[in-house]
Amino acid sequence: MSDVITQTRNKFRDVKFFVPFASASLAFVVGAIILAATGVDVGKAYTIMFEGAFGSAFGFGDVLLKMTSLLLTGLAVSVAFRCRQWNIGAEGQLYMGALGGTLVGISVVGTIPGIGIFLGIILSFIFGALFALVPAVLKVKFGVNEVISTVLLNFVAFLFISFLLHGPIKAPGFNPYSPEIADASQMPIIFPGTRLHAGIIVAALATVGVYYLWKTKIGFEIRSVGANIKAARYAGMNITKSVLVTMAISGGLAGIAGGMLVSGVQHVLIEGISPGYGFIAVIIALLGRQHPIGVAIVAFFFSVLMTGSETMYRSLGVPSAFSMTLQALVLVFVLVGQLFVIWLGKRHVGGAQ
Amino acid sequence: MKGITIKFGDVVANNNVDFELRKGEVHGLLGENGAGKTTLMSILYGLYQPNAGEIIVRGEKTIIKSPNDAMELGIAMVHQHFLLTLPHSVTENIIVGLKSRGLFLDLASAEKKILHLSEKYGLKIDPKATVANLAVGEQQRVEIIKALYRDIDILILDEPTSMLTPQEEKALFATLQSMVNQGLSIIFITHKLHEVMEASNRVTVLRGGKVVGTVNTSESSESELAKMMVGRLIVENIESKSTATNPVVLQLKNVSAFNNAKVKFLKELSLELRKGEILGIAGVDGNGQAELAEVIAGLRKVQSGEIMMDNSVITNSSPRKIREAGLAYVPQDRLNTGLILEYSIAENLILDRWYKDEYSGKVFLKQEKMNNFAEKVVTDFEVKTPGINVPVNSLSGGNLQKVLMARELARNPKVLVVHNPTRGLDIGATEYIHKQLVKQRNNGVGVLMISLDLDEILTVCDRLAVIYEGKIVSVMDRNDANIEEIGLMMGGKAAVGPEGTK
Amino acid sequence: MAGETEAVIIGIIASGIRLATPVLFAALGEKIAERSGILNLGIEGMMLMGAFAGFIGTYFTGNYVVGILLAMAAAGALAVLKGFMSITIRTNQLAAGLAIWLLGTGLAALLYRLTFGVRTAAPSVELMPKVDIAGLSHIPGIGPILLNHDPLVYIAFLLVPVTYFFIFKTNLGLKIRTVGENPKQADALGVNVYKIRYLAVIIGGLLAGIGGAYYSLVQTGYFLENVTGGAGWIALALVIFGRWKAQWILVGALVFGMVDAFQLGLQAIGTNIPFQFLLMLPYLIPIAVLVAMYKRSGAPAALATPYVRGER
Repeated sequence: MSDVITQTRNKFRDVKFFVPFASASLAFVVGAIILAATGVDVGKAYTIMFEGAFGSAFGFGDVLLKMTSLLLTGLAVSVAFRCRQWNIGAEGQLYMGALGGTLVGISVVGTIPGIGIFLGIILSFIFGALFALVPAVLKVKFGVNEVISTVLLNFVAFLFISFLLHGPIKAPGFNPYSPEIADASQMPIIFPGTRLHAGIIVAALATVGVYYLWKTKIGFEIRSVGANIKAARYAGMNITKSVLVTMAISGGLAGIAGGMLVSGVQHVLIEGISPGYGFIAVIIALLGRQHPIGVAIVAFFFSVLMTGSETMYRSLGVPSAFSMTLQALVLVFVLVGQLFVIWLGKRHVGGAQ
Repeated sequence: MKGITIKFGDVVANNNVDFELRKGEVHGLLGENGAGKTTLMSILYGLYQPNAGEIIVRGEKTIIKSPNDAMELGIAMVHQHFLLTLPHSVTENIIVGLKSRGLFLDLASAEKKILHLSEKYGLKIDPKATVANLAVGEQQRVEIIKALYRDIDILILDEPTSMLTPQEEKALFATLQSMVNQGLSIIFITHKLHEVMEASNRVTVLRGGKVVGTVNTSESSESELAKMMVGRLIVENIESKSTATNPVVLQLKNVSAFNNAKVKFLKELSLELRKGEILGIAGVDGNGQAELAEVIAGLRKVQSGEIMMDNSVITNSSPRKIREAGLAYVPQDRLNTGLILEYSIAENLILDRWYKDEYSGKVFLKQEKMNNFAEKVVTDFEVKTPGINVPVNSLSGGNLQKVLMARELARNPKVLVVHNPTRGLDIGATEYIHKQLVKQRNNGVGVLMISLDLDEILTVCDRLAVIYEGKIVSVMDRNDANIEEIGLMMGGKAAVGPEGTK
Repeated sequence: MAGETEAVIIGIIASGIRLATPVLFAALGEKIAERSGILNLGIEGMMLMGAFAGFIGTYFTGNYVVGILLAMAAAGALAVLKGFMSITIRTNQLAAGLAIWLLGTGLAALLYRLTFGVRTAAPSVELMPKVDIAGLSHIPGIGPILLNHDPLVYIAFLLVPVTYFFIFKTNLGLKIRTVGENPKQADALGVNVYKIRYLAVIIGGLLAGIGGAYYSLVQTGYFLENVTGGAGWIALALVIFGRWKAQWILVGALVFGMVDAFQLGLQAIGTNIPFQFLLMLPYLIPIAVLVAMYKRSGAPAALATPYVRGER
């Protein structure tokens, strides 16, 4: 335990620790430049952003609400990355999970009080996991590069959901929505006056779960396969099992995120229910350094960004793409920053080129 | 080169080094692994810039900022690990990077020049051949012509004989002599004493980054040079044991296997390892050594034939089962196959046994047990490390090897297979490893030592076998070993060994 | 009836060629970049920036050339950033590529909205007109298929042999290949590995930019978020499928284009298959192709090891 404390203390002394903060600040600066260039009052914009996120209970509730989605998808992607499986398909897995949750919610089973919610979570996990197993099996059996397969399958998922919403599970009426899910399947609001529902607790539990996952036997195998596949193979670890389990967990977590979007806020399944959480999750996973606590911190920060950004849109018309751009900029600056520091360090050594 | 000093972080790789090359001489740069030889020459070739010191070429002070500068000064370097692009042709490998006169590749005139050089120096090569299809000796010729192509008069060779048989070595030295006759001056880096004695006019010895001295080869001797190289007389006096009557613990019968390119690389190989002996496998790199180790360890599929350990068949068993049957394996590729660099010592030590009850429960790993094991190993094997939870990539080569061996030996194996166990290690670590191997032998373990260093094999092993093109061509006791003969066998001119193979 | 079917088929083939074009640009560019050892996952982001910049350039000047040049510049700028991250700073190439993808996507959408705001009628440009090669486009069959496309199509197809010659028959091409296979060798022989890689990745960016602009200037006349619809990822798949050889990349791009044209044609004709499933085809085909490739080429399942060639 003292090792952890020493390591944490050393981290603070390490210049590298401040890189993320510097990067985030730089990203805001660039954002300011872009806004200013198009005539937006930067000071006002950032103030509104801050107020939107922290200025009211409702606002902060929305921050935590978004954090539910970002944390779950962030964890999903970080678990996959830990095994070096580049899962860029979290968005599609999220949608399939949303489908799973919806199916429970609109069926008889979903009306059973106390059961509906849990069954919804379980089925959204399963749907997400199964959908993620498709590229996983393709990789294990046929060596198909998972970056390409997971990305392309996103589109397949969107289209499939679209098909269902225009037909088989469409509610009566003009709109391509599913019927509303039963009350017993809806997540309860935990802070009245906000939209924040119990999903945040599910997300927190998932974080703890992932933390302990890495201390288990299977977690050890997964990490080893991700760190050095040759050594893992020599150690007799089952590579295939590790990849499949990883992707299943990854897809499952993303699926739960999707289920939460339906059961927690909208109560119906619609196209575009996710503003790209699965993609932002990639940034979160990369920034969170594959550690669940890191992921949580970044997820929180990004939730603030997204919530504030929404307020900026409502008050000043700043487009929602602003938050995604900022998030991508943070990633770029962090990536550059970390190694910049090392690079600078090397420069002082006369020899190496 | 005067007063050359270069630091990498805290390590002073070259410390105030003076080095002089005279025209028309072959100058050997001698030192053990890590002495700073390659670093010094890399500075001369422009790959590194020194922190202090100056370089004077043909009487003029110069600064060499890049290989381009070096080549313009007429200096070229042939690296120990060939820098070749395998899918490309010989010509393409040679001409890349030249200041070209036109947009389009002119392979035809390049080929002419290559053939001309090839004849001039007696280095036979086909410019149109694909490098991947060439044998190691031929690839080296490509490397040399690559250097000569650039109109040089100073040639640096880094450990040029590490891949050659004794006969090819002689041919190389003859080539060097003919180059000198044509006006070249040559520096060659080596850690092998007999090479400098044979081929050089003068020798400069480096130790720990400093120059120990420069002598005329004719006025010196191997033992004097050894003393300069190491600081003391190397005395590794390991007695060989006669093991003919010991029971066989590992047996390979007519084993055939493919290499990564799906070419049959082990060809009906047969071998017997006895309890309580060290059996060395000598051979030029690329004759099946790695494949041999891998089929024994279960990392490579055996297409036909059998492998038995202590009378149980282990052919094509999983690596885990083979380990549990009693095998310990220290691969040559420590950093990639053996260890996970980001993991701590504790985690690395349980890589092969994390699933066992001692180290994990139903779900979780037993962190405390892991730590205890790690502490014990660090003490028993004198591993220098700041702690057991530090990532192993902060350890030195010798200490990494100790961790790896410790893990393998902690299983009390029946058979220990080590592949190039001391490559890249300094003398101290090398001696330690050798002592460990002997200790295991004395405990009754059968040790199979695959090594590219014939000297090492002749120092440590009780018996040795020569591997050539995927077969064992001869097996003999150390006392019966004759270097000439071994060299011939390594090169394929097989003699019939005492056991009558081939 | 037969004449009608024939016309439909010809239409599909002609359309397929046009649908293949943007992906072909991007794939050829990426092939050059990958030959030097740089893997660029951010192509999609670069193409979107190209689509946006091309649109804006043409919208405000009425000139397609300006639009295309602006597209090349925008995508090229992202390529420089990718190069900086991957070559100079030496970040993990996959992470850098993903960052570029997301940055390009977000930035394109952001800048578009900031420029045009929300309007009832989306701003548009006139589609780039087709060129009538030698006035022969009326010849049945060959005419519409080969001789009646917009100029970018011809440029793209010309790029195929040009790329081949560049990579295999020039000194610079040899340098690029060597840098990608064995950068240490190139370095030891005096090749500036950094410069070569920057050059290669920038070329990739420029071509991706043109590919992106194709969507806004030729196919739709608008800029829409995600107008490229995954083309950048398809291009990545094509480079793998084509085994880094221009001629096979061309084949792959045409297959993709034809499939896309085919499913669009089916939608137009009207079938029982829900249109969403038809739209899925262009995404499923590359996956199927990659599966088929494994079996035939016996490629080692490089499990959990991302492809990075010649990482320095």
